[in-house]
Amino acid sequence: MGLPVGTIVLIIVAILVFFGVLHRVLDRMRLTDRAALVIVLLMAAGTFIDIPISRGAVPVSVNVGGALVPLGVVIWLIATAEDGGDRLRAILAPVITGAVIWGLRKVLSPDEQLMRVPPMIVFGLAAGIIAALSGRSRRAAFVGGIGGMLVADVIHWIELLTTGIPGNVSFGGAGAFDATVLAGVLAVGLIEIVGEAREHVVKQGPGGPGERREGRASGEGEDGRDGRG
Amino acid sequence: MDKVRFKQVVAGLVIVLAIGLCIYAVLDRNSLPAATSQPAAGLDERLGSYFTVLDESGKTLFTTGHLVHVGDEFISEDDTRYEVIRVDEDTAVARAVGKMEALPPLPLTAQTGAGGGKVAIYHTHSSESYVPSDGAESRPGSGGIIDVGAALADALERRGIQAIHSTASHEPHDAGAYDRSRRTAVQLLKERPLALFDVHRDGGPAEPYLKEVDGKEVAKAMIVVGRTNPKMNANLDFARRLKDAVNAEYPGLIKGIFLGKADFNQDLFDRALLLEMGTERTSKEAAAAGAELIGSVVPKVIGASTGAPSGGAIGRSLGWILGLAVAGVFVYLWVATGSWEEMRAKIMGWFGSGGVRVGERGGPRDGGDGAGGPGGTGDGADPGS
Repeated sequence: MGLPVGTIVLIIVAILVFFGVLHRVLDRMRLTDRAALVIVLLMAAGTFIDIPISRGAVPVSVNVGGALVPLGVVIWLIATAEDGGDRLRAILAPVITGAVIWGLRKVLSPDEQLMRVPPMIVFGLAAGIIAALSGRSRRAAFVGGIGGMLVADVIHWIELLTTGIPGNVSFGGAGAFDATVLAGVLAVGLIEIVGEAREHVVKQGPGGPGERREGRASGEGEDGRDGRG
Repeated sequence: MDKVRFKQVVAGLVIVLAIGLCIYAVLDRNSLPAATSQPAAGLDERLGSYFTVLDESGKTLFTTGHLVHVGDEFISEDDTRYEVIRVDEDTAVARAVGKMEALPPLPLTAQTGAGGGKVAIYHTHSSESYVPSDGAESRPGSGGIIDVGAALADALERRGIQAIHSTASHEPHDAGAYDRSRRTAVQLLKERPLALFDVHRDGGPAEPYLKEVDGKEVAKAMIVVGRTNPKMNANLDFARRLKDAVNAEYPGLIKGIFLGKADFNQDLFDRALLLEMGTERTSKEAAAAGAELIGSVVPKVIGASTGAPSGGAIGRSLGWILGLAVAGVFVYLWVATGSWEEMRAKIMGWFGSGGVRVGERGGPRDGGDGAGGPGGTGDGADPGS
């Protein structure tokens, strides 16, 4: 049978949430396990709902599962940022990620067969890398991944309007199967792996495990940044 | 965040932004709509050039504008399976690895026609065109390929199949085209079609793609299946049935099935196929004639049980999901704990006394509900400490 890539990713996320593996990631994103599972289900159900925004020269629509639900989470994450720096990072992340994703769509080959990594994966990784550069924040990663794809679509919309290229824009139009959802999940996953790998390296260094755990117990996270983000 | 750190972050963001703008500046020219007589930049069908795939004796198997990689496969008209073993610039060599096993016979309803149902058609590369008829290889907004899709749709409609033909544009022709067409494909799948065709045209010389049927010049087709998608087996099954049925009535009309290193959004549906109808050097009329003939045969195969999940496919799919999930948990635990002992303690914690979550190394959850999922009760203990 085989399942679509997006479904597989969401199932894996649900399984990881179910077993509590993503507990700390969700904690940093101010989400409970139950909230995360509800969000996954809403994204799946919302896949079947499209809301037309414009029927003009460039038809525009937004999908509930692929864009509105993830956007709601993004707004929640920005709204619950603890300080100005965190909020600034969360707002800048999608803008920069969106510009980079749009640029990548141009610079990468249009032929999937030429790429070692599929474009859908590349965009999520790009969001994760940008989030890593901006401070290893799970919050910025998710906001960057979801928001970045949406911003890239806004740029695409502007491109169609200004150049006259015929086309349409469908924000998150593939719902749970859309690259938008995948980008958010992958970006957080990348940050988590980078963060844990870094922590693992630190653990092996001077100070040893005990020092690291003490730092964690204080709630500050591995670098004093993740604890807020 | 201290001031120094904040400045570093801002500096980093500015650098990234600058890189993005540079990319924009360099590529902006390519994003502008090309004059209809000019090919759009960066077409994946390698305009002007193409791959020639030979067998080990040096005989040409097929030509294509698709990029060919080692490991790609080709199933010829006579069901011989070839695997590409060497690629040297624009020439590839494929080794015959044997004949495909015969497919089980179709149910009677499939042999006699599906008796209704829907078939969806769309075009990821909606600007693809035919030089002899359209005057250009690419016509953003009015690609000749749309007319070929319409010919396929008409043939289906005449045989009682409801054809849903999306003419949605997915321009510009860049790395985001398949992301955009994925949205169209999902929209079409909401209509519950029996088959989903992404109709393209190939690149390369016209001759290998031409044949005569009843004194009329017709463009052959090649079916393309993405071999990196989880539904590859189901897609290939459907592709083979379509090829066999079409070639039984019009020998050689489908020249073969190419299995390329991509997904082509075929992970979305068991019966999603990419059809290459002629090349940019065949006429649109010949391609449309080929599409009509294929459309006349499609009703005979879409009632088949190829889309029904088979036991083996289900097992493979479940194995894939579970394997990934287990691997993900394993890698996460290994990185998070740093030792086998700690990792074992964590796992025992899940199934034993407690349900201690990874990362819960002290202190209650910040803003969490404390209970969470069944993975644990959040007792704050750290069995690895």
